[in-house]
Amino acid sequence: MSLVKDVFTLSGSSYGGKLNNEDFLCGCEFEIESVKTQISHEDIQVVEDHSLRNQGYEYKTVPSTFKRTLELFDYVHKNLKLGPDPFSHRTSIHVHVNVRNLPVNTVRQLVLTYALLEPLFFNFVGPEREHNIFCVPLSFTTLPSVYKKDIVYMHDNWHKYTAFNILPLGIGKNSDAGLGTIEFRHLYGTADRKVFETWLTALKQLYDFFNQNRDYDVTKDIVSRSPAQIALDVIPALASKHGTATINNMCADSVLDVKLSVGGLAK
Amino acid sequence: MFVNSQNFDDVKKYFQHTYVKFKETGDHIWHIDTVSPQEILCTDKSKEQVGIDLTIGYNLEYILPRKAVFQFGRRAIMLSRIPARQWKKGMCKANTAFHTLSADGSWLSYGFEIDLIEGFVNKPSYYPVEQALKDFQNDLESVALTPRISMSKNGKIYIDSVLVARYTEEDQKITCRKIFAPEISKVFSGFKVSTL
Repeated sequence: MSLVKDVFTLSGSSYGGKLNNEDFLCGCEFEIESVKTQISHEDIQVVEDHSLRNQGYEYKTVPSTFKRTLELFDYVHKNLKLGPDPFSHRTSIHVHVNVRNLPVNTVRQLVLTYALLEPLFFNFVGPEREHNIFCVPLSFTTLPSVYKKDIVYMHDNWHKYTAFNILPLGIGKNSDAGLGTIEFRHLYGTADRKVFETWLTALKQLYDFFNQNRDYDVTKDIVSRSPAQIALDVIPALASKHGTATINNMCADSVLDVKLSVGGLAK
Repeated sequence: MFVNSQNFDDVKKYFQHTYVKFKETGDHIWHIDTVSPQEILCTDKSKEQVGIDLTIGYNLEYILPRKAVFQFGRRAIMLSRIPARQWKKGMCKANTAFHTLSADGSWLSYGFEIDLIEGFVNKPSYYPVEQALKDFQNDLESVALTPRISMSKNGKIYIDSVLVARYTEEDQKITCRKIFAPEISKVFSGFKVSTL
């Protein structure tokens, strides 16, 4: 089976080969405003971000394990000195999940499963993010029309400012860099450890599910199981607090989007 | 969002050259032409320009709708978001696209018009199937049956812009892919639906 790193011809030399590890790895971008004194850490890059105001910076972590990412989050928030309103509506947290070692067909199924369960991700981050122009839900766009294509076609026709962004998978006409990652742009800026940990847990659960079930096909699963049953298997961190009927109701529209990935009738 | 002279620069950045509503003017859709600390100059579909006094302040409401199909005159119109890089929060050409379903079942790009926005925002309408089949005998070209399902005069049935089923007039039968049968049967209740 062709892996993402081969299909998108990604270099494996960065970070001492760490990226070739199949376990969950991610890099984060924590956007924070009103920074009074700066931090310095070998695993965190501090970048000026012009979309932010009032001494706003982006703190980028190197590819890290789940546990290490939480440690870096704690380090940032324990050591930064912040002024008033550091987490305005302009700030957010983006998480890049490494998928370079997954087969491309598995990543396509991950995309479709995310699309099915997208309402749960937005339910967690709240309605303000759903209407943010920099993290548009896939279900609001015409992107479901490319779900029937392969991952390379999807990548070439994707939009960066979707909440779930596959452009970093590889170098392409719409993207800046080939990182072999999928970017989750949903989460608002926050120092709340519990919120971040729950979010990161959900992303790890999504990745782990596909790492362990590489032949899973959501288009077959939705014929016999409800979105709620699938959600409880794939992302229990986000699904377990809701009842079955609530999840099925939330996902009523996205089920159709995923069904469309099998294609329609010949014209 | 309450807007006044204090935050006029935000209004300018996010809403100039987009379509919005003001709570104080009800369902009226306005195009914001220019913004200054004193006033917002905007026009409605009659092309008459009015000033919104920012020294008093008004409640601005913006609409960034999700993808949907709705009826507009003789055709079904599909609206979708374009998640491109831009700052605008109100609806405008850069962030919203319209397509229309022609009688032969082709989706064609459609211009960005204030009438369309008003048609969608205020009273999106949908055809009952039986009425649609009757009106196809006249000049109706396509119909929106639900916010996701539409049908053209020549019997092509779509979910969004994907052809998923066909209606044949001779035997009044629907043929569709099996996976879409639950959704199609629900809308075409009373019709025979066979699956491929």
